This record gives sequence, structure tokens and C-alpha cells, in this order.
Amino acid sequence: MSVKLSADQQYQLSYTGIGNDKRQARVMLLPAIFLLAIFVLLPLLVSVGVSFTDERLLSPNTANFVGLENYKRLLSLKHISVEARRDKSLIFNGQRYAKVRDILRNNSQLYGYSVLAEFEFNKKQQFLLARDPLFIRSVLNTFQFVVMVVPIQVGLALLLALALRRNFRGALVLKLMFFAPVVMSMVVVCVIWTLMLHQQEGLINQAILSIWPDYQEIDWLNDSNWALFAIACLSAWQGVGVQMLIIIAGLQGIPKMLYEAASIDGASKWAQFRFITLPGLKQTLVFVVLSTTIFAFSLFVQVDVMTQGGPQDATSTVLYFAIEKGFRQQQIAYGATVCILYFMMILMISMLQRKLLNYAK
Amino acid sequence: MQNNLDKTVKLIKTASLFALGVIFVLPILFVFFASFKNESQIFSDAGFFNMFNLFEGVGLKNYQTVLQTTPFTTYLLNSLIITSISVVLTTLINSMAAYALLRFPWASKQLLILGLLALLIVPFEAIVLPLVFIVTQLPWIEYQNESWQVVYSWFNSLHVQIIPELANPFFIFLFYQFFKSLPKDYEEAALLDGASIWQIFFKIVLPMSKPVLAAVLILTFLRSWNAYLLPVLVANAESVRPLMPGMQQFFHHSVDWGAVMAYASMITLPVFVVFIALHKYLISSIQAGMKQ
Repeated sequence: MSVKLSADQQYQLSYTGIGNDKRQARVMLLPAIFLLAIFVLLPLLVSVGVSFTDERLLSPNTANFVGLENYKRLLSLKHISVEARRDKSLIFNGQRYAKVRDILRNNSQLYGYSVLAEFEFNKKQQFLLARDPLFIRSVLNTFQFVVMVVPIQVGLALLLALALRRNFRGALVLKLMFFAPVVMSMVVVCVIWTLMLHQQEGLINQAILSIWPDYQEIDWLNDSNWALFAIACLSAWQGVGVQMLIIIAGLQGIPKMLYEAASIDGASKWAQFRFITLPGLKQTLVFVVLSTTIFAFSLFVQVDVMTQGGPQDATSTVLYFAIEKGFRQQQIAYGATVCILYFMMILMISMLQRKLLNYAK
Repeated sequence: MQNNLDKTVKLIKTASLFALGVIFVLPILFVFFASFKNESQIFSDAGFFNMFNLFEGVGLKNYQTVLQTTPFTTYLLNSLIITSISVVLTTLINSMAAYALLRFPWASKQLLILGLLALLIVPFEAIVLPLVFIVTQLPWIEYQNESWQVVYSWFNSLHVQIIPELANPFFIFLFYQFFKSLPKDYEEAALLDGASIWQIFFKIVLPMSKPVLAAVLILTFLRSWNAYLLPVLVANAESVRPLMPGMQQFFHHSVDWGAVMAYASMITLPVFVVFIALHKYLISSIQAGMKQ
């Protein structure tokens, strides 16, 4: 750190001993510092403070301190298993198990919990319980989205970058074509894709039908198995240009000499890719994968415009959940708590990124 | 012979890349072509070649529908005001801060830089809810009923969509890195000649910084023009609503796909004009972003 500080001194102006100049410089610096303090730092502190209360947006009542209640409500998970009823006379309407609702009602320790998932294991009915199943569902959806979108987006970006790494005639036009969706508003992108994903007459299903006549049209956005995947595809389409450009810059940093030497030695194209390109791109790829991951965690607009969290909560994400609760249902303290958890997740990925980048060096 | 073969292979490669590129931008072309058709034509023309068939189109009728049935001009005006003020002030505030930070000795300089680096990681989405909470309690002076009055909320205004996003750690670092590459000799000579630091900044430094200015300009333009989350939360009134939330509203309440496509075309065209004009700086700023 101290080394960096002394290096910085070489960029400072000499002859500014006069107090007036520095006073003027302070005027230059202060607006940014002031605005960052009020609109970034203060919200951060407020959300930490508010997360320990039951504050509501636009409410005349003063907030109460509730300790860790918001965090507990979000993160509480429990597991119970219910044995099948032995007494056959009690089987009613084919129901072999006691109703879980009755169990929850009769057990004071399970107060406030509801069912997140159920399955049969070891001849018992197993229940995963959560106090806020929708939040857990949203977290899982968000992770699922990340797992889908990152490989699609980074893989496609890598292929495009490899194809466009040399400056042949037309390369710039191609780069601009692949980059064009990036500058579009996500709202517009969502509107276009809603039309293109239309079950009967959308371009996508029409195109698949023309190649594969037996295809049963999928109603992409209204099918809980496919909605998130459809959103991942359009998100990758919209954003891939950024990763492509970054990887191209990374590729151009690999010395040409290495490839020349390799081809003299008779190395195949694949060997060149495997032993020169990939190692040379390590740092770039770590950066691209992790920054795409961070970006994917902030999935909100697509869900808000296209599916509103549906069908059957299949596309509810952490941020969508936070805005729904914190803004539309006015439980700002609860929403802010979600945002803190989201921020901690981002912080961990950023720290991982720093670690890995240093390691890749 | 070998040379000819190489050339053919190269040509085929380029041609197939262009084919892929056309498929890639097909959704964008689709919007513009669909905006000249009525709904039944859009659906019946949902094929690769029919898509571009405009012979039976309805001309500008969809555009008229948008202008007549939505407050499009209000939204457009709001977006223009928000975007232009944001672009000018963002460029100014962040470049000034970066310059002062770089060229002057500050007692807590390292702390300031570390603080900025820390804020760089904070995603806007993580602070947007408390931000809503804060702007409901901030004071503002307004001209109402023929007198100036203090109002204690920024809700439903244009300035609430501008001010919170003006200062930006990433832009400060972008300027900081660029100013580092400038020779300070000119500035020191001007200082000796008695120029004020404002004159030096505006007449020497900024004119030498066109690439980074263009980059920040286009990034801010895209951010403000395409803004969605913040206006949805803090600007609900129609009179202050910008284009993108307007689009979402129209999309949810309209059943006329042709008109929706016309709306989408109108708000996308300016973006492409700016993009094509400044693509050089946009590309270099994204590649610079990685080195941060």
C-alpha cells in the first residue's frame, strides 16, 4: 500500500503550495464524495439498521426493534419425517399419512412454518419446512438461473471471440452485430422475446417446427419447467457481446510468437487451443465467469416484465422477492434484509474473484 | 493453388459468420419490420422470409396509435430531460473528483481510494430499497402556488431519477486511470502562468480526454435512457414517468402487438444512433473495465 502511495505522488502537481488551489480542488472533489455518501453509503447503513426492525414504507407508526427476527424468518429451515399410519382402519381416502397441516398446527415448535418440499424416503414421508418457503424457492431459482446462464453466455462469448479475434475485413461489423443487443433496454428485449416465445405463432416454435415436424410446441413462459430456461437464453443473447469483447481483448494479449512456434513444431489446432489459448486466457476467463455470475444474481427486469415470478413461483428470484416484499407489500425492513443477504453473496463472489485472479497470475 | 484454397476457406468462414450474425440480430430486425404490420400479419408472417415482407403493411398506423393512445410524448420528454442532465452532470462530477484526487495531495488519499474501491463492489440493486426509503424523507425546494416551498419528499419527481446515480466509483476510476496517462507538464506550466485550476481543468485537461469522456458519456446515456428499476420504484406518476416503465405499462395493458412494436422501435432507434456513432469508445471502455 505504502509503495502505491509514493508512486501516486508522481502524478501530483508541484507548485500547488498555495492554499487557494487546494481549496478549489476540494470543491472539485466534494460533490462526488457527498453524493456517494448520501446515495450509496447511507443506504447501505440504513438497510443494516432497518433490518433489525419492523419498519414499513410510508407508515405513520414508529418501527420496533425486532432483533434478528427478519433474518430468522428468511433463513429458518426444518425437516420432519412422518411415519406411515400402521392402523389400516385409519386410512381415509387413500391417505396413508397424517395431514402435515395438522402436525404443524399441533406442534408449537413448528409455529409459522410451511411446507417447502415433500418426498418419500426410507418408507417415511419427509417434509422440508421453511418459515418463508417463497424466499428459499427464490434463492434456489436464482442459483438455477446462474447455473444455466453462465455456461451458455460465457461459452457463446468464447466461441464468438475465437472467431473474431483477428481483424479481418468485416470483423468490426460482426462485432457490432453481436454487441447490438447489449445497448438495448432490457424491457424492450423482454417484449420482443415474449412475442417470439409465443406458443403457437412465435418465431421460436415456428423455427423448431420447420426443422422438427413432430415437435410439441412448448409454452415457454407459462410452463414452470421451461420459463427460467427461456429467460436464461434471452439474457445470454442480450449480454453476450460484453463478454465477447473482453475475451477478444484477452486473446489479443497472448503473444503471437507462441502460436508461430507451436505450428512450426507441428501442433494441431486443438493442441494450440488447449495448451496456448486456454492457459493464456485463464485470468480473463476467471474474470468473465465471476462477473457474469454476479450480474446473473441481479436478475430482476426480465421477471418483472415477462412472468411476475410465475408460473407457480418458478421464476421468482432473490431481487424480485426483495422488491415484491419491500416495495409492493411495503415491508421495507424485510426487503432490506433480503438485500443485505444478496449483497453478502455478491461480496463473497467478489472476494473469490480477487483470490482467483491473484492465483491465476 | 494452395493460396486460392485458403482464400475460399476464409470466404466461407466469413460468410457463415455473417449468416450467424444475421440470425443473431433477427429479433431486432423483427421489431422494426413488425412495427409496420397489424397483429394478424405479424403472426401469419412469423417465418424467416415473410418477416421482411412489408408489401401488405399498414404503414405508420401503429405509430399513430402509440402517439394517440399513450402519453408517449410526455415519457419521451421526461427521458430526454433525465438523460441529458444525467450525462452532463455525471461526466462533470466524476471527472472533477478523479482529477482532484489524482493531482492534489490529500492527507487521507489512500483511505479515499480504498473507500471508492469498496463502494465499487456495492451493486445498485442491493441499496435500491433503502434508497427509496431515504428519498421519501429528503427535502427539496419547489415552486408551488406562486411561492417557493420546501417539500419533504423526492417521490414522483424528475430529480429523484437523476441525482442518486450521478456519482459513480467506476467512472471515477475510469477518469483516474486516463488522467494518469496525461503529461502534467502543460498543467504545471499553466499553473506557473497564473491559471486557476478550473481553467486548467476545463481548457487543458478535458480537451485532451475525449476518449474517456466519450466512454462515460455513452455508458451514462445507456444507463439513463434504459433505466427501469429506479423509476419503477420512485416515479409512479405519469407526469414524471420515463420511456422504459412506460413501455412496460403499455405492454401490459395493450393487446395490439403492432403498436407495442412501434413503441419499441421508437425508443430503440436513438440508442442505435448513439451506439453506431460512438462504438469505438464504448468498446474500449468495456475492455478498460476489465483492467480495473
